[in-house]
Parts: sequence; structure tokens; C-alpha cells
Amino acid sequence: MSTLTGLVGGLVQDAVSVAKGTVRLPLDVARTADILLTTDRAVIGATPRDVVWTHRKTTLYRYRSTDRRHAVPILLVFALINRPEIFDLRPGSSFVEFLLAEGFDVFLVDWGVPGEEDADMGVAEYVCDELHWAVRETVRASGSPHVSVVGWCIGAALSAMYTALHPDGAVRNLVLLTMPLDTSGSLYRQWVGRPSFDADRVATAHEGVPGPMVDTANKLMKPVTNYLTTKRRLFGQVRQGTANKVAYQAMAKWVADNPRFPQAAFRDWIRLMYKENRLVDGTLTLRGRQVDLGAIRRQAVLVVTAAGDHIAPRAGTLPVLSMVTTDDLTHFDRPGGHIGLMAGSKAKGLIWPDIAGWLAERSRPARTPRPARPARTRTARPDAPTPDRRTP
Amino acid sequence: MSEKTAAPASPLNQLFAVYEQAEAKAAALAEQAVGSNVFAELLATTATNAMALAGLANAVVDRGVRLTRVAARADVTGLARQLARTEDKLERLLQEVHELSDRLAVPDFPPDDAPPARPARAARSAAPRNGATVRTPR
Repeated sequence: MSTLTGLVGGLVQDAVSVAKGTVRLPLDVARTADILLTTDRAVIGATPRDVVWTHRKTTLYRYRSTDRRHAVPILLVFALINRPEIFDLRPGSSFVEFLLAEGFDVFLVDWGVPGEEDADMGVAEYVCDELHWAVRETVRASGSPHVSVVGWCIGAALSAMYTALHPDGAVRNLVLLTMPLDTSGSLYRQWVGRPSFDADRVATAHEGVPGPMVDTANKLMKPVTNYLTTKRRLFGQVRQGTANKVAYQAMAKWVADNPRFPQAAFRDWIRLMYKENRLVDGTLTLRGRQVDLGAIRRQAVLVVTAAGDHIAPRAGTLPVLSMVTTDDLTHFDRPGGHIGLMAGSKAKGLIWPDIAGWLAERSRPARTPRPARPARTRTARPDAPTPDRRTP
Repeated sequence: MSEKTAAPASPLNQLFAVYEQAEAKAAALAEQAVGSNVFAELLATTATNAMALAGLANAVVDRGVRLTRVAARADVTGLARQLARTEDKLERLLQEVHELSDRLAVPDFPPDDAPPARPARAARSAAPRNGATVRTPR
């Protein structure tokens, strides 16, 4: 009798639960759809800033601050694909905001949205002209003879190339975030490094590669995760009442904003990095000058890798540790993905303070003696998370 | 990524859990598939062909528009490119001026109490008149 009662009770409970879930289902679907459909209203890159310099589509911004405590300004450099707003994603979760609060003078070089007329902008133009001029304008605007360059993804590679070409230039500190360097063994190389991928033809049809095409290629690396799991996970969070609409929309808006990859830059990037892997070989030349990362000897260098990075795999970045010849070399390795490392929900506590601390130690005025250079650290660590090989 | 569910394991939740497992397996299989040589070859060939077709279509449309005596996309791009070249020249000139200004140590905005003497002019007049660049130590 008691077994029968328990069975019936269980069935009733299940039925009630199913009924409740079924009634809530349309509401949860509607809420999820609302988040997805209103993504373009999200506000990103909201920190107040001023235009310092422009050339073609490139713009140098300086973020407003009333509390600049460090002598050396920071210049942020992002990739040629996607927009640099990832540095300043949303209030409360913005790397720029964090750096400003730490007392840094922050500049950002924005490559803009290239048009067909910018088809002639190649890697050499970005490194030797745009970045060079942006560094010069940063120095002029800040009044400091030195600058700390923080590059991310392709921006890190461009920054490293620039610093290698100007070893005695204004760059004092170089931060390389998830930088693609040795592309052998990467999925990208398997796709675009093969002879059947004609980079010239792909880049020529539209005088550049349309942003959505680059975005599709990126998403195809993890198709189910990118096209399905993110939305299903959002639906699950809505059902549990834990969805963060503002955070999801800000990231989704940034991900969907893909500028054109200029024709010459795409052709150069694919050939130099994926077909011929020249940067790691030390055979890359820009305007007849060899880009030897070994020339980076006077700068303090911080290399940050992400254990779960599938776009610029960690193993492909680590050779930089043995290529640069500086005595002040630090490597942070953190869990996370290519973007999540710096823009994820945990970045604010996991990596930003370490980067800011590292920069602060090396951002004293030039006339005061620099802190004693710590022992050089080169060896790559095994799997994350493990303690950093950082300088004391 | 698994999500911790606070709700009891109702049939609906069980259904979602089964779906999540299936999705995780599909994700792993898909990543394996896109990493294969066959997919890479297919992607490379398809991308190249698609862009070649797009190029042809663009050219045809442009010719059609030009026949109507209206500026086509290529014409507008050509004009924009000329503007970009002009901007390049101006920028290079500006950078050269900045460099010379730095070498001469001429402040952009001299202080109000600065003496009336003009250091740039003084330096120029002291320079040999053979077009050589004046290099003032910083």
C-alpha cells in the first residue's frame, strides 16, 4: 500500500514538475530570443576617449583620466580582424577602465574598418607606417619618451615585429597576449597553408576578405560550440535565472562586428605566417628589413598564453621565449581561451592585476634607475594552472 | 561545459541533460571532422571558387552599372584610393615636419613668458646654406 502511495506521489510530483516546466518553457524561450534579438543595442567601448591622430582608417585614441600616476603610457594594439572594443568591452568589465583606475595613461590604436580603397594596406604598411606613427604620436601626446605596447593576437605579432625593427625606439615594455608565432601544427595552417588555398584569389575578389567570411572561418574551428552551444547555454542560464544579459550581449555584439581584412594584409599574413612560417624562422622581411625577434633585447617583455587557446595555440607562442634576447622576460600562463583569457568573466581577477603590476614596476620615469633586472626566465611551463614564471 | 542545476531532476531536466550529452559528443566529432585533411581541402577549394565567382559577379554588375553612365563601385573605389594616396603623402609630410621639429627642439606651444627670440629661425640662420639638415643636440 505504502509502495503504491509513494509511486502515485512520485508520478504526481513528476507531472507537476513537467507542467511547471512546460508552462515556463515559452517564457524562457521568449526571454532567450529577446537577448539574442536585441544584442545590437548593447553598449561596448563606452569609456570616454579623445582622438589624438588619424590616418586613413587608423585612429589613435587617448582615454580620459584625471589620475595618471605612471610615467610610461600604454599603447593597446589589437588584431586586424574584429574590433579593438574588446579592450573596453563594457563598464565594470573593461581592461581599459581597469588600467585607468591603476593610474596608467592609456592609448589605443584602432585600425578602423578598411574599405576597398585600403586594399594596398599590407603587413608592412601596418607595422612600418601605422604602428610607427601611432607610437610616435603616443610619445608626443603623452610627453613620455617611452611607451609600453600591449598587443593582442595579430596585434601582438605586429607589435613584436615593430619592436624588432626598432630595437632602440620608444618601446620600453612589450606585452604579447596570445600571439601567433609558430603556426606549424595549427588548424589554421592546415586550412590556409595548403597549396590549394589561393590567398591571392580569395583576397582579390572583394579587394579584401569580407569580415563575415573571416568570422565564419573562426567559428568553423569549433562549429557546434560556436553555432549551438553558446545559445543553448544561454537558454539554460535563462531557465535557471542566472543569465547575464548585459555580459552576453556585449560579447555577442563584439564577436559579430567583423571588419574587412585588407587585401594586401590578408595575402601577406597568410603567406608569411601560415604558408611560409617566416616570423619564427627569422626570415620575415618588411620593406627589405629583416624582422629578427632576437633584436628585442632592451625591452622588458611579458608573454601571456592561454592554455585553452585554439586560435593561437600556446605551443605556437612559446618559441618567442627563446627568440627574444632581453634579460627581463616574463611568462604568464593562464587557463582560458584566446579571447576569454582577457575578456572573460574571470579575467579581472586572474590576469589583469598581474599585467598591471608587471607594467607598473617598469613604468617609472626614465631618469630614475630602473629596478634591477631579475633573472631571465625562459623555460616553458607544463600545463596550466601552475605558478607563474614571473620576475620577483 | 556542464552546468550545475539547482532544480530537481524532472523529466524535462533529464531530457535536457541527455541533449547536452549528445551535443558534447557532436561537438567533439565536428572538431575532429574540421581538423581532417578532406575538410581542409574542401574548405580551401570552396573558398577559392566562391571568391572567384564573387569576383566575376562583381565585374559583371560593375560593367552593367557603367553602361548606364553611372559611377560603378570600381570608380568610387578608385577615387577613394586617390584620396588615400593623398592622405598618405600628407601624413608622411607631417611626420617629416614632426621629426624636424623634434630635432630642432622647437616646442609646439612656447610658454607665455618665453623670450621673443625664435630658436627655430636662429638655428636655421646659423646653418650652412647648402640645404644640410640642422641637428641640434637634444
